[in-house]
Amino acid sequence: MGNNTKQILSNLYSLLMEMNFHSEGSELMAELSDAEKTRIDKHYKQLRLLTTKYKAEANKQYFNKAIEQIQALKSKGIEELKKLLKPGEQQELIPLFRKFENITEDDKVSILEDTELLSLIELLKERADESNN
Amino acid sequence: MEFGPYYQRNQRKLASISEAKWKETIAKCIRFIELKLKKKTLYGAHAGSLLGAEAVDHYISVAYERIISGYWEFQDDMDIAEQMMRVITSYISKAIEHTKTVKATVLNIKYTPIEEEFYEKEIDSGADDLLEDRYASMIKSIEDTIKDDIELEIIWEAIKEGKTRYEIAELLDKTPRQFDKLREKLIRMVQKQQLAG
Repeated sequence: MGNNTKQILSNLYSLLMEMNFHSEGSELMAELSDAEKTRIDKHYKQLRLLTTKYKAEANKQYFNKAIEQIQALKSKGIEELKKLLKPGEQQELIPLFRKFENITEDDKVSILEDTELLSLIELLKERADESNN
Repeated sequence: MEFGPYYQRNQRKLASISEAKWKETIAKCIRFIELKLKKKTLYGAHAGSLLGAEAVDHYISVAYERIISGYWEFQDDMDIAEQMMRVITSYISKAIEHTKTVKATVLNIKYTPIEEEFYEKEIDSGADDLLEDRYASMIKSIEDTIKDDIELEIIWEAIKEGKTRYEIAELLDKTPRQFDKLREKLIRMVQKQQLAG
């Protein structure tokens, strides 16, 4: 009888798990008590907070990496960097290059919002890595 | 704060999930954990310590933390509720509780249909006789409750035989969706026996 009773209850819980999985979300929400709603709200707030923390950390790491790349590239000297670009690219990217040349510490935040400049930095880094290999 | 290998990918997927969808998912997962832990408790005397609101809150937090941090890969063909349930299943199972590395976590992902996981047999670590008596009284209490309700009696016999949602719906000549409407009736049946037990 022992194993049988356990198996029957186990079957019941399995079926309820399956029905819960297939239940309509809106119907499930309508069945909730106030205490359950409060508990769900608490978890929702926690997961939003966690998402925000991860995004902030990801932005910080992205920023630091970009600044590191800029510093590494600038230390090579602008003329050396220009050599990494093909003649066609040089012409196209010259206005951006001037911007890159004039980057100061105060510009760091605005750099990260300038997608064109970031693309140039990425391209220069790739070429610099290639020429090093 | 560390990022898992799927952080960027998961963030793109998570961005499209609405507040309403998240809340429905959390509600489903809370019920899932409660049932999963009750099922596990049947087969091990020590598993009783896993029960309670704190354990449920712990497992649900682990599930969204693993997905948001990118340590669990958000699969294209699964909705957020299924992703969360898979993480929860892995963390409740003892096998994964002892795995610490990202590599081990990735290796432990199972892609069997989720329905099969609901019916997965637990390893019996041997519950004591006192619990056996309790289970028997729970079953008796259910059987007393459903007396005179022919529909519930048919369902109960099918549950005893281990039939699934689809099979029971077929037996009642209903679609699975129509059978789902009886979920509340079934939950009331379980709640009554819990009070008695």
